[in-house]
Amino acid sequence: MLDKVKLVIAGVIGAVLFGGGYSFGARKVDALEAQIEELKKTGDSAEARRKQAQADIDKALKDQAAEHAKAMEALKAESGRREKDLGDALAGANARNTDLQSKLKANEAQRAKLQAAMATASDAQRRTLQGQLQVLSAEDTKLLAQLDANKCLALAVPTTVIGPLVK
Amino acid sequence: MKRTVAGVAAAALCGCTTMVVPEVKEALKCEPSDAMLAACGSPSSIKDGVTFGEMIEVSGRDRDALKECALKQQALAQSIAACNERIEKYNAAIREMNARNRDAAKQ
Repeated sequence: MLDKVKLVIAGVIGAVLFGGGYSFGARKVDALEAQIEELKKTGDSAEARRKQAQADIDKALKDQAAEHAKAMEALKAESGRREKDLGDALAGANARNTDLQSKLKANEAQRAKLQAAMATASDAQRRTLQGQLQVLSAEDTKLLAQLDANKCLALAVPTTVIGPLVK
Repeated sequence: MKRTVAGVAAAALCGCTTMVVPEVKEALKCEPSDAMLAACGSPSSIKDGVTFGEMIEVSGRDRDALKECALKQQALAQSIAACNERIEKYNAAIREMNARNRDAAKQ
């Protein structure tokens, strides 16, 4: 009987001690829990901002990639046109030379006419004819320079000059 | 007596619970497109006995490659700038949040 009373008393004392201790401790725990809750809120808010910032970055990069792809496409189209023009220009070198040579031939015939006319011309006429001959000569110089430049395209670059670049 | 102590200890342990701590997230990523990250091409090779006309073609190809490379570099620089701008905006928001928390903790 005495043991049972002791047990009950010990149980009551234990419960009182537990309750008192728990209440005393809970005052601090409440404050800590509030702080942790605040930290959690801050963490959630920071995470929401991080997600938003990442979404902003992804969108900016996607826009940038689309713009870049567009610019590259335009550049490729321009390169294709330029390559074709250059190919045509290089391929047309022979035709241009033929054209230049026929112009030189025509100038030569004109020169012969002028020189023949000089034989029977008066002094004044001779001066005019001389002027025309000078114009023809200047034109010939220009035509010959163009002819040489076009011929040059088919010539090999001297090995000593291009050597360091050849791989 | 031992049973009483065990009972009190068991009751006290019931008050222990786990607290969920927010996990640490990864940092922001800045990943430009593969096209922008691709390396620039090497200059065209020049064959032995190349003509002046062919050299003009080689020069044209190299100019195109250079333009392409410059465009890529420009796009990449703009992408990095866009990333940095947004990361700085995010960091400013975090700094502001931390300052607010510090102020709240002082009160």
